[in-house]
Amino acid sequence: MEFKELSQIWQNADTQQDNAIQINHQLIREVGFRKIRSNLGEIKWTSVTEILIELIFSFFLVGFYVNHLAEPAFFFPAAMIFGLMIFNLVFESYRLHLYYSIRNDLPLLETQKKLTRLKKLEIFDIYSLLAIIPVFSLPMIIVLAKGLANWNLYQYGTDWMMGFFMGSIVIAVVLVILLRLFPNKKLREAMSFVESLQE
Amino acid sequence: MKTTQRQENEFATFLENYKGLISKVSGIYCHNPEECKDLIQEIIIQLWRAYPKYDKKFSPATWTYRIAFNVSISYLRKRTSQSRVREAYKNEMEWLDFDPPPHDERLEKLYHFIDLLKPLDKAIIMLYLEEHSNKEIAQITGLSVSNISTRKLRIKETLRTYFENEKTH
Repeated sequence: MEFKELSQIWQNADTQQDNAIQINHQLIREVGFRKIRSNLGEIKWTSVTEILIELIFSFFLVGFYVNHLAEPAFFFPAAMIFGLMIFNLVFESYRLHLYYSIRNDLPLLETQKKLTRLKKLEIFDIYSLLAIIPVFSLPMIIVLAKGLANWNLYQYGTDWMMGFFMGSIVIAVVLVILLRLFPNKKLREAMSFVESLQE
Repeated sequence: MKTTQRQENEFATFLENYKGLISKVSGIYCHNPEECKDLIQEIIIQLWRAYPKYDKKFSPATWTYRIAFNVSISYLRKRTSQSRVREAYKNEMEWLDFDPPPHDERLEKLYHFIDLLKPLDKAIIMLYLEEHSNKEIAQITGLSVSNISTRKLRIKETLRTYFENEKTH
């Protein structure tokens, strides 16, 4: 079929399309669109919540830091977590910035690029947990035990720490394999979205 | 979002003028009348939200196309339209009637083949079928004019192949 013919078929459908939609404008006003929130809101609220929790936790960390400046055994784990927190704050702030910069009246390509980036960050967020768990769970336990209950975990020696660390790595590896074999819904949606927009 | 009576009236007129366009865009991104109705609702909602900030440097058609395509392409609308919008309106009266246009075999085939294209290519071919210039298509999509020309040729070739393959089967 020639393109001219296709164009003709398409043009002929105009009147039918115009009649296809009947809008009750009175009801639109009564319903009030302000109830409707975009589902991107989920990303916004997750990021806002994470930023708030991290800010509160960073106050605790700074206090802990100051109190243990002379104790490297506590100072270093706290510094590690603080570094992670800063990274996460920047990451979530960037996500929020991206979220607010997406507007439906932008050119299609621009919106697609932003949405793809947002989804890629979502995928990264899920996978990064698998590195964060083994690397940061031990320093986190040490800092929390000392900071909240004044409980020095070093008194039990370092053998259990090695075991804990190795165990976390095994768990992370298993999680990676499971996630690759059976990606969860959120991850699947993000991946298929990125795939569908791939040019 | 506060809107004046005048804005509401203007929007109502605007919607009447562009509902055919909205219906066509939704038609190439969804697969059944129910889904189309949801998508049309979502597009209208997003148009209404963006309306007070309408940028007059673009023609109303360009602006409407951008919003309609962006909402349709975005996967976000799938979940929004199918869950939240429906949920939000389930106790409300229906404010939108959508009757799919009468059956036309050739048009359905065209829709089917367009559906096999990538999201951005769907937009380009629809704008081409609507006889928009390369410059206008570039303004809506954000691609360069030369890129549009290349893509149009490629899409036309793809569609031709689909129709030919269909003939031989």
